[in-house]
Amino acid sequence: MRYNIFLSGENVRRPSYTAIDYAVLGAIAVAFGIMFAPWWTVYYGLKSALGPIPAKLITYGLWFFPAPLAAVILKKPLSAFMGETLAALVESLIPNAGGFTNLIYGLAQGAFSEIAFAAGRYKRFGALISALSGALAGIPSVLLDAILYSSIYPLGYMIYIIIAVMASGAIYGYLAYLVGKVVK
Amino acid sequence: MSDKMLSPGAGFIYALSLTALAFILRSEIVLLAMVIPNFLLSLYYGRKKVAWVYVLILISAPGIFLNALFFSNYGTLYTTILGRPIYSNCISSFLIVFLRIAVIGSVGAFFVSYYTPMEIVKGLEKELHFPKGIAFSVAYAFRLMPLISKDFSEIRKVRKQRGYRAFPLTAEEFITYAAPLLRISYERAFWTGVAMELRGFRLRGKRRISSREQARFEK
Repeated sequence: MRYNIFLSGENVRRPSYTAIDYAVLGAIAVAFGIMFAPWWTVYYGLKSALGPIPAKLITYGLWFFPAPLAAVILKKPLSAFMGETLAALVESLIPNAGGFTNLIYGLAQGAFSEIAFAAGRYKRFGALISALSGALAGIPSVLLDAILYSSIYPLGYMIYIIIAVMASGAIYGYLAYLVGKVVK
Repeated sequence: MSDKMLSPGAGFIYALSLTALAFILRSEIVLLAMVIPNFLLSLYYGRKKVAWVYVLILISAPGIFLNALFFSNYGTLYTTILGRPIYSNCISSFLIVFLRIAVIGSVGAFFVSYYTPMEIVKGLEKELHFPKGIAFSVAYAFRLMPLISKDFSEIRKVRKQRGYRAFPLTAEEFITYAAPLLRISYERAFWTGVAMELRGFRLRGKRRISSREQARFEK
């Protein structure tokens, strides 16, 4: 089925989300909302022990996981955005140190992840696009970190961080593709 | 809908606004003024539920201080720790970032301790007019939580019986938990969705009836 949300006209099919899609998005959201909350402990532990760059390389990608996973399973426009945002919303509603930043980060990461699938015109949901989707989600994440931690990190150091975060996102994006194939 | 002083929709906007403000504010006093009431309210409404949020924030403090020490240690000499000079900018950078994290954590903690998940979902749909599909997804996610927790303990029990480590430490062990949990959740969600479609989920809406029909119902 072909979708095009950027054009208008009689021949264009709009994405129609069924209750099944919403339920699947809910399942992805809860699975990752639960995983994200304790993941903060892992991140802070690694950050204290190894420093920010290794900690981000190891942990950050998991926070981008729901976007490619939702897209690989649902294969519909905006599924990556909704998967990431809903997981972030659920995470925000579970007591954790991130609070509502999770939702702000989730919205931005979901939007950037969606770009990869939109670039493939919602026809390609393979390993490469999933990895790209994960990597793209790293960009807003680092930008928001830069605003939040601007008092500490110098600009040069932020470049190393963005490389680490995008690499982490690409790895977890590829894993999301594999998991999506197994689940479906 | 809710007997609380602040409705869930207003609470959601309050928490989101304060979190967004924490990103841009640079005054330690203002940030501290935002932390204190939220910290106290969150402890008042959900002490056990949110205590570990503050433990996590405290755990993050040494990391933030080390980063400030490595990357922002300049300005006028403030003090020395273990023979290392600590400059004024290191202290102020540490305080700003730490207080920002404390604001974010305390506002989130207050929000989740003041409202139940279902109140929040209702607030999102009725007050903030979130699409019903999104509200359903969040409500369904919270409904699935105890089921996933039950599935998790069953997998742990089976692993114990087979002589494997109960808590996942390696990536392979993590997958032995994550794969069945996601598979079961997906299957459950799929059939829930099918059942909902059969009951006309997409056709749900406000029923409009004529005044004559209404009068007939009221008789």
